[in-house]
Amino acid sequence: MSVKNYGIYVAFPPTVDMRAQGLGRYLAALLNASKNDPNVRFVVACPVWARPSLLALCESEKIDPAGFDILSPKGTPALLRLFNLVYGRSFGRVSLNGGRFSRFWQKLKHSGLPLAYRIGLPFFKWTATNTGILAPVVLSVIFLPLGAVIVIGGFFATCVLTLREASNLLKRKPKFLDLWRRRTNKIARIYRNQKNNALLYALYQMMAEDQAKKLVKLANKRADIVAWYAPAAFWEEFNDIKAPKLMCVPDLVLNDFPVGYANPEVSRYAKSFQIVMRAIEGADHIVTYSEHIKQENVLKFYPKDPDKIHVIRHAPNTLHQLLVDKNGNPLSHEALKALLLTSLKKSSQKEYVASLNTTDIQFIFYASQFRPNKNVITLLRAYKHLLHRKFVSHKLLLTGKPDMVPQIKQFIYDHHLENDVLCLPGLSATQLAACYALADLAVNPSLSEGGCPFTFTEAMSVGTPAVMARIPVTMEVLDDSSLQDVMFFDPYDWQSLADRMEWALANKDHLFAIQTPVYNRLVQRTWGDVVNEHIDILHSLSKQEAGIA
Amino acid sequence: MNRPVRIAVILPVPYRGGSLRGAQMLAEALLLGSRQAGEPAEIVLAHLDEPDKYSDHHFADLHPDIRRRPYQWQTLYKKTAERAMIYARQDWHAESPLYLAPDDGINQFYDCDLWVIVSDRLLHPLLPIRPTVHMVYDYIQRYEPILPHGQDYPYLEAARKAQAVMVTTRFTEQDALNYAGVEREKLHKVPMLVPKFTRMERASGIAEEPPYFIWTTNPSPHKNHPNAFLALREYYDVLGGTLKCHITGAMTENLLEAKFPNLAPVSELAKKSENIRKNVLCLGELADSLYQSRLERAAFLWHAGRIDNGTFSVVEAAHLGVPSLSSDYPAMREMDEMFKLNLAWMDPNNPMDMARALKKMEVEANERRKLLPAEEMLNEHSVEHSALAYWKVVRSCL
Repeated sequence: MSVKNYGIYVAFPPTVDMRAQGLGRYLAALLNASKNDPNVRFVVACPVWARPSLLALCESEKIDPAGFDILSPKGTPALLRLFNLVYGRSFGRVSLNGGRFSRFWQKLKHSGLPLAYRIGLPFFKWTATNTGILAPVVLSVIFLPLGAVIVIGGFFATCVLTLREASNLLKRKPKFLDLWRRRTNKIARIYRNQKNNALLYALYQMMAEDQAKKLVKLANKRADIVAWYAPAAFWEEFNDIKAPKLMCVPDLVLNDFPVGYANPEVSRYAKSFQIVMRAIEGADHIVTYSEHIKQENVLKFYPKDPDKIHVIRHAPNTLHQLLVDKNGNPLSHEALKALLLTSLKKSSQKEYVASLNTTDIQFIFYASQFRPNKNVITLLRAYKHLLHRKFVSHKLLLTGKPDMVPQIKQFIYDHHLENDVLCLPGLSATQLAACYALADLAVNPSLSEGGCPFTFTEAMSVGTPAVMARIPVTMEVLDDSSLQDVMFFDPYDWQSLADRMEWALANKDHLFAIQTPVYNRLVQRTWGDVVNEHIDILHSLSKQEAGIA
Repeated sequence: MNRPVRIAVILPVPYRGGSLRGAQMLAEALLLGSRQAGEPAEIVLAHLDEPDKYSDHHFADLHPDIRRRPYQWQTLYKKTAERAMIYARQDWHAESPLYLAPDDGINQFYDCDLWVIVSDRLLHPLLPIRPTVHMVYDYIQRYEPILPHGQDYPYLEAARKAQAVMVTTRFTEQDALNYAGVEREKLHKVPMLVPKFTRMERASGIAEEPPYFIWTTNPSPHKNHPNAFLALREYYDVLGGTLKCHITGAMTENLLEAKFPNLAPVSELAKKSENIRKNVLCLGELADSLYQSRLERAAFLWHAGRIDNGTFSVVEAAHLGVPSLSSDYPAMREMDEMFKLNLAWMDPNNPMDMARALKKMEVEANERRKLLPAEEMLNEHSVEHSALAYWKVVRSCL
């Protein structure tokens, strides 16, 4: 049987690190599983700036890049080159270390005397010992302009100081100083939080749209690619590909959480939402992760043929394979604790963890970004109740960034929970696995997901039971009624969550025993199965296109 | 997965006392009414997240099937509000610079299909992301200057923009039409919800006291304190009144001490009148059982307020076999008609008339006990009896 080429279309805008995206990890799972099928080869169409991110994803997920092809337009947009120079997100590196100029400045600032000494001493020796004309010429070339700079700089400094003195006398700051300060502060904020700057985001979107169109042109030239798959509904240009297409609609959280996502700090979603709407409207075949999303997010709002909306459930995510040493043996308990300690050191509560050296702490674990649909405040209310009223001594470890959601940070502060609720953003996959393994309980209070959250299998794979919100997508997969009674809670009722956690902590082994058969059943499904189901649909679409029954 | 209709009953300000009880009864009425209609709904009672004002015991009587959810008001700028409405797939343009959304830390009550706001006290327009019904009890500001000029415009606008407005008296219905400018089609008069009366065990340890009447009040301006105290002075100084006056209610323990600006004349009066100081006892807010014990022993209940939507204190008094002397205003006439209380009347604007009525009641109180309605008649106005009417209004807005 000949190899069939299937296309995967991902047109993320600049700065997106696929390793940090759920979709990126989903893509990794597809690529990883496809390597086992010799008749299938994926071609990943992505913008030029996404190549390094894609390769970094492969490295992180241990995928051989030779196992698939990459299709990208040539050349980097000039504007992006400028951004890379300044912000350091250069082609070839996915890093946040700043541009060349800022790195140079940082080095100079921090190296201080040693650097000056290292550069200055040899130069000084040379000028002191060189007898030819070169040394004086070099000295003149250096020091005359330097002298001029010093004189002119001194003049301006004097003016500034004089003005400041005058303004202090008048009790008014010079406007230009304030203006300068505001401008530099704004630049600093943009640098720190590029994603949420409207102007930058608009520029990124312009580039992304242009690249997306170029990708479509490239895709349409590849007659050998029999069908295309887009793992998200972000790119309406995908619908312009002439080959059969399958678009994934993971979820529509903006629709389900309109006020939460209307937050001005994430205003970029407004335009994205409309793009997604158009993409779904124009899509022919769609795949969702759950029947619930198919019915409630797609068919409810779009007049589509239900037979053209396919449901492919996730395979479970497991973590035990990350907790092994070089020889493939499971890590010792001490090694896990060492990983936990490094995780704790990532806490946003820097002062609290600075001198923390113990890992003999008991904790409850919720691994998720902080988003409006994740229901973190309800979890915090429940936890506060357990800690302050029921005297359950466990800490609560989270993995989101509290600065991204002020209400969460404020709640933690207002209720004096900052030393018990630790936020650990940026955990590596191994650290995440270690936290799950050492937790007494994993919890997921999320109100809405595209498919059954991975919490259950991730936790169970490393020996930790889990309690989860009773939401439709979870109940589609965890449909055992006796299991539901012991592990589900009402996500709208913090008391229900508190009661469930309290019971689970007191009956950990019993809960784990009840959950184990279900876990064992779920892990029978692999990402290979998921890929095969996708390929089956793509194959079927390509046959329909070719007019084959 | 199909779930039942979910209704949020939202207290927009930190109401306590009778208003809080009223909100709980409203929530219960919707729960029972939906069941009576064969469409059992989930009801969520929302209150401000202020632990110093609300704790579990304030909701001890809440129906066990009603969930409680604390929240804070979130203020949205125009653009944010428009964004939220776009995400909610609603074609809408903001007209106001600011909007309010109740933030429960979950999904801003977006999981509820309709919001019932208890009163109209919203400082900014509500984000119209869900249909809204307002439960408006009164427009006291039309008759008493309790609000600065123009401060109630947002409240009036809230009622006008709602899908429906519920009122419990014809008097408030007229105010809603003529003062608030609510469209007639949106206005619904629903029965008053009467608290289930529970006769408590008599509080022990109350010493025998000289005969008295009870005046249940609070420091609000519309409670008519200046006239009431003038009447008391007349009653004691001129008419030779023999009954003591026991004042009860929230924040009444210091009623004579001019802690509230509108009570300054009262304090002055009290200073100058020995009879008032001798015969008027400020008891403050009493526990329910203690209040009941005192009320039961009282000669009568005195309701001296000038204007409101009626007070259930006269109904509670009737349950205990205690007659009431009430200010004569439309809402009390409606209550009298509804519950057949046979109230005695006085003109709240005329202290002399009030004093004479007090003196007359001193003599007639015992006789007036026989005019009180039977227990069964009072119980006809229970929440269960009135629930369906509430559900029908809410249902029509879904």
